[in-house]
Amino acid sequence: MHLTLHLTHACNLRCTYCYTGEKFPRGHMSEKVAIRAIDWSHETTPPGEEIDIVFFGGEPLVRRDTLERCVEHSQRLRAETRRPFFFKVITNGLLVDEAFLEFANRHEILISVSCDGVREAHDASRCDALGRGTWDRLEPRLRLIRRENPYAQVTLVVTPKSVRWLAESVEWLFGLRFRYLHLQVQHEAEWDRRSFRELRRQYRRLAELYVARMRRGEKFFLNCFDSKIHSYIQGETLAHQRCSVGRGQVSVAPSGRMYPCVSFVGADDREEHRVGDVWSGLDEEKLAGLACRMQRPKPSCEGCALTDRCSHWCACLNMRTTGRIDRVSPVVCEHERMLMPIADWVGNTLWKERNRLFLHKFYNRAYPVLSHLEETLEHWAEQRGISLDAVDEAIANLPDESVAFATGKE
Amino acid sequence: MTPFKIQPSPSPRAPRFPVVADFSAEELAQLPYRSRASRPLAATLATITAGGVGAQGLAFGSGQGTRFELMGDIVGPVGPTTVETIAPDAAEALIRRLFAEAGYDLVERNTALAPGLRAEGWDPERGVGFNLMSGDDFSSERAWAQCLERHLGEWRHIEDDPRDRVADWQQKLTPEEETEVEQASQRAETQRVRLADGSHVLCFDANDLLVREQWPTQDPPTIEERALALQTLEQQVRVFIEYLQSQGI
Repeated sequence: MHLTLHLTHACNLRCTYCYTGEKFPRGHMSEKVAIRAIDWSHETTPPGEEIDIVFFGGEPLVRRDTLERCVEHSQRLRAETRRPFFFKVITNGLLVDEAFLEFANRHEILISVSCDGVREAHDASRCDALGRGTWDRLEPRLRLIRRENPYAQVTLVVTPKSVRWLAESVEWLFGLRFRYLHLQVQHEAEWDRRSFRELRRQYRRLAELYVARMRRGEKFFLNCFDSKIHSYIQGETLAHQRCSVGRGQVSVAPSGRMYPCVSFVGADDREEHRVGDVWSGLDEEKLAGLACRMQRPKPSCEGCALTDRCSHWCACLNMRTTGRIDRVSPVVCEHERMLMPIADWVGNTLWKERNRLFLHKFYNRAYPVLSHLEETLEHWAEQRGISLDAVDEAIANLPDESVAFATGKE
Repeated sequence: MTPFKIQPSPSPRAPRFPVVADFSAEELAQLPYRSRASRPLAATLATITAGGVGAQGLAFGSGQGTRFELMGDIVGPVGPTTVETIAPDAAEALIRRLFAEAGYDLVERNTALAPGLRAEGWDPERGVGFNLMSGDDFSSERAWAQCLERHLGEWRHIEDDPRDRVADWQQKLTPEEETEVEQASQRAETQRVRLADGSHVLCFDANDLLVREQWPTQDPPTIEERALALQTLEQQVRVFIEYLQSQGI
């Protein structure tokens, strides 16, 4: 179960592309609603199955006290029932400080920071309430976050205004040693042929950068290529894990009303998308109707051989771009047809070279476990001034049973 | 108003990397996995993903795709770091010295161990050697050789012939054979060779032995990197020799 708690409508930024609705200064989620949402997910999720809680907003760190109460409450449930809880916070980073990072590390909260890259790209859209760019204030906090949390992710929104700095931005973030980068193309923006040509050019630069890093054995995640390569390699297996509109995933607005996904929450005023609330639970009939609309074949995509690898199945994306969950935007179609051959070039090149990291990343099902293990040990060693050779040796000497156990728990 | 239209792609070009369903569990386990911090752990995992201890095959060597089945057991891990910082001559000299110290006499160059497999240095008495061929080249070359054998009635080692002759040969291939060669260069299982006569060859991937200056996107290696690479290579050769000796060879 993925439970996204929109802790508040309030935000200290006014990003021009924000889809989370108007920023109400007092639109906070009460502790009572937040705790009830967690209890609801706990009651309705089968025993032993994990619950992923995502703290979202607005800016969730505006309500840090509520966030901390939620984590503590979940930890109590974990202790009492042995249910695994995982946490993630999606933040603009400006309110992150050492105390929060210490809390996040203590409770293993994954941090995802929004940063559009180099100054020019970031300040093109990510402004404060006075319209001023925020890159200068974010940059030192990014360094702090990376220093304290090696698993931190960065989400870059790509717009026609920022696209020309895309590859440079990715390189800059890699330079700061962030390894998990998530590009989010703002499909609903005013893309034209010229800006798309630039996007293609930037993707090609990124493809070369990707291959070069893989050749050096440098581990990282870049969703634009990874997800497309993965979609081919895993095929049917991956298709079953896709969006099911409110099944196994729900977004809770500050009021306690429930929506199928983050993009549907907005200003919490669209009755047609509401699928329940934390007090009475999900409206199963409405959910079934949404799922039925979503799963219906899309006439516009009939005969397309790329549908298994395409994002047309994302209800959230369709909602944002066309206003309907079952209608695909031509911009999405154009983007997918442009991106896939570039991603395939990356895959073909690395496969031909039998690049070990490529094989490991895409064909070894234990890769996530191994990768996490490595990073944890590296971070631990780095903080204590211990050489990485000693870490390598420690991993090499792990008994087989422990690795088998970890793999089994993947 | 967007200038774009929805355009279904009825027949896109399929990627050339395989889907996971193309492999059996055993084949997946034998892909030359690597994690940066620990190749030994990756090798351990290979046995796990194969469904437990007893998986066939050995991931050994330093190159992309360099893997070699010896006795059907996993007897050694993939080496701990890449050796792409060493010049081939330096690597070869080091390998020869280590074999010589262990009492092997690599006096010959054996070009006919098996179709497509040769040894740069070969001890004819004990059936032990090494090569510096890339796994990728090896598999495609073996498929080449098999095709050419059908056409020419003899097995030839492509690398021993001038490039223009290779081009002549290439023209003799049927489209099906071209596909066969292409597939062979892309599929890991074609790199697996078991020498029926019990001979042992240590294969190093020539790609990994290139000096890094030859990679346009990379900086030249530092002195420390070269030293580390040589140290790693040495360790790999010693593991191989220890294995041979444990088998009484």
